Amino acid sequence: MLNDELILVRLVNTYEALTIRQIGRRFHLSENSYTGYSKKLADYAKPDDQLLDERWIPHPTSARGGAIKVYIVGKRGRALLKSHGIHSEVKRARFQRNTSISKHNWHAFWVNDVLLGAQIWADRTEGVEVAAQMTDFDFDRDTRFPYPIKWGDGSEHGTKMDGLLAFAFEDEDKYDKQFLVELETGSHEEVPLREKVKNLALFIHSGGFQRAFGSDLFNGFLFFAMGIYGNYGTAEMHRKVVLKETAIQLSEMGLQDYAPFFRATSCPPDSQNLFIDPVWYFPACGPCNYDDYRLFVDVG
Amino acid sequence: MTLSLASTNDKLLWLSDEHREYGIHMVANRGSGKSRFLGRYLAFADFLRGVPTVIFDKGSTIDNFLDKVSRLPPELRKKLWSRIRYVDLAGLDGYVVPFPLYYRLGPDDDPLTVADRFVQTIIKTDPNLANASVQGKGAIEDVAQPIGVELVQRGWQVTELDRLTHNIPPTLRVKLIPFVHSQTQRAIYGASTPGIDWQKVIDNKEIVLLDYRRLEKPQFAIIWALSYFLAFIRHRGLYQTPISIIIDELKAFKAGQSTSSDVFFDDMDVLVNTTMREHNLWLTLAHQSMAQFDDRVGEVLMSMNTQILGTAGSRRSATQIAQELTKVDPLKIKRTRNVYGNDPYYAKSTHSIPTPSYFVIEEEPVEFTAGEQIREVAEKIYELKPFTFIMRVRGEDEVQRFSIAHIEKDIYPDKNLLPEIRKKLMQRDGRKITDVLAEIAARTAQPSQQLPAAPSQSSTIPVTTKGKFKRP
Repeated sequence: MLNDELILVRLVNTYEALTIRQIGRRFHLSENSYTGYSKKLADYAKPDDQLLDERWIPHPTSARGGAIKVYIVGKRGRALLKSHGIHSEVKRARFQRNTSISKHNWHAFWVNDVLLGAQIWADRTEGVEVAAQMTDFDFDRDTRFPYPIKWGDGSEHGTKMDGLLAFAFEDEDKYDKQFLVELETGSHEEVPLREKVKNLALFIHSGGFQRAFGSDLFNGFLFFAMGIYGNYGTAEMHRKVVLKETAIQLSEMGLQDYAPFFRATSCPPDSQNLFIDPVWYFPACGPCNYDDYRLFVDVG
Repeated sequence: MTLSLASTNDKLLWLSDEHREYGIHMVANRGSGKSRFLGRYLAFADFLRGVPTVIFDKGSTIDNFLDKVSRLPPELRKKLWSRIRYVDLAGLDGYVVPFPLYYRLGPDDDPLTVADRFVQTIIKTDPNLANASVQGKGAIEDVAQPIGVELVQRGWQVTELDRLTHNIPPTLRVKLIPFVHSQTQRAIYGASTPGIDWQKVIDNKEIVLLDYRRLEKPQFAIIWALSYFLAFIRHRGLYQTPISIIIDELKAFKAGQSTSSDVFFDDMDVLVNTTMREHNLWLTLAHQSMAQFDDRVGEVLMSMNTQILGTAGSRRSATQIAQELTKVDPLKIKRTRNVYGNDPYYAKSTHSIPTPSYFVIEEEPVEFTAGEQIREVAEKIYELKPFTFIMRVRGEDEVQRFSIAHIEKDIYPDKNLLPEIRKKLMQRDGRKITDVLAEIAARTAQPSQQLPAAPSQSSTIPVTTKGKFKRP
């Protein structure tokens, strides 16, 4: 619970920075108690406590107002982690200089929403746990990324994913699952999107996944089409464009067989429906069709 | 101590250790008793003396050796079995002796050196790859070397190459087929550690019998096993204690069907002229006919210090050998020829027409030509009876003849007992295929939280959607 300072600090440390609502979600706190727990968090961030630190981030879409508070680990929080021998988990401090942080970090926070949602779903679901995860910040920090990709024309490119999420199922008959997260806000036009798909496909095709992660269990990329920026109108329209461009790109590369590794949703990143409802779609090429699927169903 | 050989006139022939250092080349057609000589005498003598010995053979030499041991008194036999290592290179009865494609000879072994051994061996077994500009040596090295380094560093084998890259050239992929589709081959070449520790062989004065009789295409297996042995020898250092290595049916090591092979010549040249002497190998190379090799290889073989010849398969082969063996004596007399003089003015009477009177002045020698001398020796070689051999040691004038026909007369390898002996030795010295495969599966299981257990769902896609993470 929020009173358990070590659990709270470890949580914030894992995700680098969390909004109030994200912290509340993770602790299974009701929206009705928002005022209460937001005050509690604010107390932790006071100068005489410093378990946490406060920062502000502008609203992702509103030009004025609507800034949102986020929390990072404070000085006392870092000391608390170290005093419990959890040195390896303590990450290099981010957002130390200014009280406000760039709006571009929303991308990382939305990825955090996906990972938090997975943890919440796993907490509520028997026989499953989150086996591994990496945040957008983790990928930024990881020196393996951008992972070098060589195209057929000899030009060198790099690819970096937005997150990693893996599930382990207790049931011996159920295979474990491992995904890479790609969050699309809509700022990518078609050409950069196709380049991204090309790099991701080549990343898998060239064995980069094994080399980077030391595993060859991979169930696909999870594209979150948010449709916030750009001219897509709705998240659903954005999702359709993502799938169409992915199909075109894979067909051009002759890698239609890789279509099952690209699934997209227009469901919000913080929705629990991601894990239980058929909200996932595949590019219509290779073995895939236009049907909707649940997350843990593999096609092809 | 010298190796004694019986002679036809009961005189002992000696083959000193010094002569062994410069190698023995033995040419004898099938049925001549070559394997009997190599197995029951040469190898057995080395073994009894405690000289570590390695035999590469298709069956007969090994069988002769094992048969000889099996006929010894029980108390002696019991002591000797522990020093005999039998390896069926095709695996036997569910057991294999591993010869992994990546192995370290020491903790400082550079991963690239480790990874490159397999690459160079497959190029050696297929010399055409060296000349293929697109999918040949360059394409194979481009993938197998860097990925091989990664595999070595992970403690994996080349059998896991396709887990790290999809871009395997077809020429390399074809070479990997046996290790992927045959469980026995996978167990032999994909195991983590070799089944033969050469240092232990030396320390315990053992004999290693490498048997490829059951391999339809033995080239890779025997070349790989030999390269492992020679890599150890070079790693061991110069001028160490002697090791006897006997290769029967040398032709099996020559890749391809053509008699001409640059790679094979280079290998033989290095082995005979450099490795053998610098590393104190008592090298014995045996085969059936000089026609099996081109002139360059023939020259290397004939340059070995001791030549032992048995029955030749053809006069041509016998002549080829005789050309090397025969010390032509330009003054060797074949016969004499009368030299006649005449007195043209002799006449019986004044009424006779003068006629020349011929008379012998002297007899002049007619020497054998070089060709005749060679032909004479060739005939002797061609007419050699089974179990009779001719031996010439460089530096000695006399070509000596000896026979093993009357030794262990009518004793031949017991065809009923020997399969049982080989099977028991493999069970004692080998590893179960199932155990090795389980070790391979466990090795490729990742140590931390991410571990797929199932194979890839598609042969073209390098990842799998079916697997379970390793539980702590």
